[in-house]
Amino acid sequence: MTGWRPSRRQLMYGLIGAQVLVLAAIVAPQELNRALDASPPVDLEILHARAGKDAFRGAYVYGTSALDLDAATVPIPLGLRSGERVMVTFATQPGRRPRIVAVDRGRRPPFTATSFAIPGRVVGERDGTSRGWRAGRVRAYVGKPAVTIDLDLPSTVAVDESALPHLTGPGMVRASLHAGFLGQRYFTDVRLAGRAWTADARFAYDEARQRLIVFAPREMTLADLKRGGAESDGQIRSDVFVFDTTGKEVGAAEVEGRIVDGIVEADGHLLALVARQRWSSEVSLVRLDERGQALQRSVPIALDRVLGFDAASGSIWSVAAPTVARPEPPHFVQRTGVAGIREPRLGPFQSIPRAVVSVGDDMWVLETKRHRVTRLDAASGRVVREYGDLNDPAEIAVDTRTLYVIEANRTQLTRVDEDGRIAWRVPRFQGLTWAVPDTAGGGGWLGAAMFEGAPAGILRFDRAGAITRLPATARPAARGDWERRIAGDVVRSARDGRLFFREHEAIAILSADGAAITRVIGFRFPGGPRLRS
Amino acid sequence: MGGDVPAAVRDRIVREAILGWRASGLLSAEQGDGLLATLSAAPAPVRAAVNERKLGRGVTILINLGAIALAAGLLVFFASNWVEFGRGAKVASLFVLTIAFYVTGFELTRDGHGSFPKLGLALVFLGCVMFGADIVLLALIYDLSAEHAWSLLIQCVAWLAIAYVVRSRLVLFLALLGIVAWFGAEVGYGWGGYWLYLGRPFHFIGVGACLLAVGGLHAWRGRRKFAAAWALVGLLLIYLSTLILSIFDLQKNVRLEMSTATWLVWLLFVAPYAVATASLAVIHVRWRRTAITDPPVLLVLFLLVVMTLAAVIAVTHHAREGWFILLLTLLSAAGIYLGIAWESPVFLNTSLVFFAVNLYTRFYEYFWDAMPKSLFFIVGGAALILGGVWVERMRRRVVRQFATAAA
Repeated sequence: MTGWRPSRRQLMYGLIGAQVLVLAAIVAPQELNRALDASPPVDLEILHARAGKDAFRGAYVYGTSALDLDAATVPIPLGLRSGERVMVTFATQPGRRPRIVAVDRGRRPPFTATSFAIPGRVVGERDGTSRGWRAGRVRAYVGKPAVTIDLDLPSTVAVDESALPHLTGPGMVRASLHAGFLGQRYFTDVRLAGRAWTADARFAYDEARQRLIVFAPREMTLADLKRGGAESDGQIRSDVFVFDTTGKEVGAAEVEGRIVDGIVEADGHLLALVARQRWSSEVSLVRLDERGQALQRSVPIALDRVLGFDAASGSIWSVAAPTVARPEPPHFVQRTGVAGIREPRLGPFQSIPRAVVSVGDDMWVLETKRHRVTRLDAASGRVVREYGDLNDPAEIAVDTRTLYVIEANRTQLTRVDEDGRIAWRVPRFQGLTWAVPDTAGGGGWLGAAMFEGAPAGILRFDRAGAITRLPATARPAARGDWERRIAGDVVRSARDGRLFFREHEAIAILSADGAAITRVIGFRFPGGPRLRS
Repeated sequence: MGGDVPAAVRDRIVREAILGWRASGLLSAEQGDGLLATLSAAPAPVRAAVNERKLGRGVTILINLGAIALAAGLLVFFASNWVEFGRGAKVASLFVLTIAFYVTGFELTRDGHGSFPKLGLALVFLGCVMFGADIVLLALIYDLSAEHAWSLLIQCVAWLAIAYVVRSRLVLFLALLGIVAWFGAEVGYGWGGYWLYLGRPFHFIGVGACLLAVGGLHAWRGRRKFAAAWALVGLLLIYLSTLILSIFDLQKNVRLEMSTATWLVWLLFVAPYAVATASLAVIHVRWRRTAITDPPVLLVLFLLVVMTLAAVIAVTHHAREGWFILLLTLLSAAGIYLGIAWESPVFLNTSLVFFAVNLYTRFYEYFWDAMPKSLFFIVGGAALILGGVWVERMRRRVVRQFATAAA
């Protein structure tokens, strides 16, 4: 009896069949996973969502997950090994980010109205670095010491091509996460939920109406980028978003041009520095009404000459226009309002000032290169006092007539009394960003990356220079000396003592007692457009 | 004037005239045969076969070019319209195109009783490419990711099987590239690099050796065409990896610390010498007429040298680029020798190329800074031309000898 030998035709068709089976093995579970899925979906947000597009995937969005992925207090199962599969359970909470409540082996709890679970894989120490190429992977840190878990969530979410024009700048995208019949998570009902902040978004505080105002220039869309970024004059727009003191959305307005910075005047009008074009280095001082309409506009002025706002007079401080191409000392400072230049010219200064702070009739001029601050009478231009003995001063804050200086490469906070004597110096900071004086109680608050070798955030300093940590943890946005800030990174409400400051991706509101922090991560609008049909 | 007429044409005219005279009775059959026998003895059927082969090769190139153009067109069409398709249409189009390429292609080959074998093989090749693309696109459609490059391995297995069923070297090359890509992906996944990461040449020397071994098995079974494909990819991996190591010692951490080495490591160090000594003794006793220049002795000595070199590279704490230069020189010289000894154009040509590349890399390394640039290029270019002419003449002579021997 001879054995059966398949013909080449049989072999070939067998191979074709095997390949079709391989493809079907990929497709079928995915389709079954969606078709038979009956669990309720959970709404998740993608923060700082940006649009991308490639030839085969088409349009998609990517960003950071709104899940709270730090769970130091959550217990982890004993003996978890690298590569082990786990199920991470999250609890939803109104007005807050979903947080991790449990990590289990193998169990697959169903989605409910208040909880959902995402499968993940424990990442070993070696994997932590070796899998760095998987950019965008959602990674949770559970327990203490933290066990790293990579969550099985897609790093991108597909959207319709027609949705791309809606995705100007970082957005907030909401999508429904489904458990999947076979446990493979997937997203549906993807829609735009709001706008998030770019790095160049600025804010101001309306003390009288207790409103937080955010100036958010729009980023270029993918279509703009495809056109090579060429935009005609007037095509650039900014949004002005208004929030109440709890961080709840109140309203929004659209403004032509790019708002570089702004403040709120006593009558409620906005005073903003607006560039007509995206990359323009010239700005105008514009008075805006609450609907974003320009009421008055100054002549253009070079942005690098602007030194600060003078809220009381509704003007800006700037370096007087040089008469030669390469400005040489002496330099002068002058006020420019929407109606034009106001006298007197103040100076002379032997270096180009870095910033000007005005309080009442007094103004302080910061000259970083000459390591000094000069106090002048704003009305007459008379020099009241010169503060020397400083080391590379980068920022100043004024409490009536007490001066606080961030100096020594942003590692030291110095208090200078009215008579010019150094009251105290506190070194051992890293990345000192800003200081805000407490007019009533003396001392104040400061933002720094590190203090005495430990992460800092927001710290309190008292009249004598003693530093204390606050209960709430915050991460003030770092600031390089090359970054231009006209109105500053921090505002303190004189009425209720709350502190508003910029974090990397949010505007944080710190309660007066320093215990609670609210983050405004973007402006949510109801009924945002669907991004995927 | 007669000198203007090619000999082949003259013979044909005379042959036709003789046949015509014989047919008309002007010549007897014997006279005709005698006259025909005086004509050129060049075997016309052989020449026709050569011409046919040349024509066939031209047709193959045309058809393969057409297949590539068709594939590019389809790719562009789908790339342009992909985002417009719904999920169902995307998945369906992937399945339909793959099956269509395979079935149509196979039916056009001789095995499928078709009369366009070359077009059929080109379409089967497209089917193979499409199958690889299917897996990638389905992963994109369903947001899938994997811990291991299993998809590449599945593709390789499918491509290898199809290459042997339809006896296509083109598909075999695709499969071998797939194997290299899969191995690179696994090495990359395992050690943290991007999957095309070229920072681990040692690993690829091992893969190259394995591919060469498979090529050797094919040659042993008389499948020289497939053997050549395996050997070519294997040689490329070995030479390229050694060349990279001779420029940058990318895996400095791959060293042995002999003070802490286990007995197994010592055994691996000593064993080759024991085996080589035993082999030489056996050769000397069993084949007393064997000279030191005969292939078996040379092979043993070469392996001994390579193992010594590997041992030095493994234990040295100093810069190892020089040792890798020596290794590449030895390997490429051995490849040239084996190419001549085994009458293998693949071994000969590939080894010659890398011998020259090695030479020019050293020329660049040692003389780029030392010489004026004009002189560098004059010397380099002239040496390249002269060396190229000499090597090409030698190579042709050797390859012609292979062809004559094969005939």
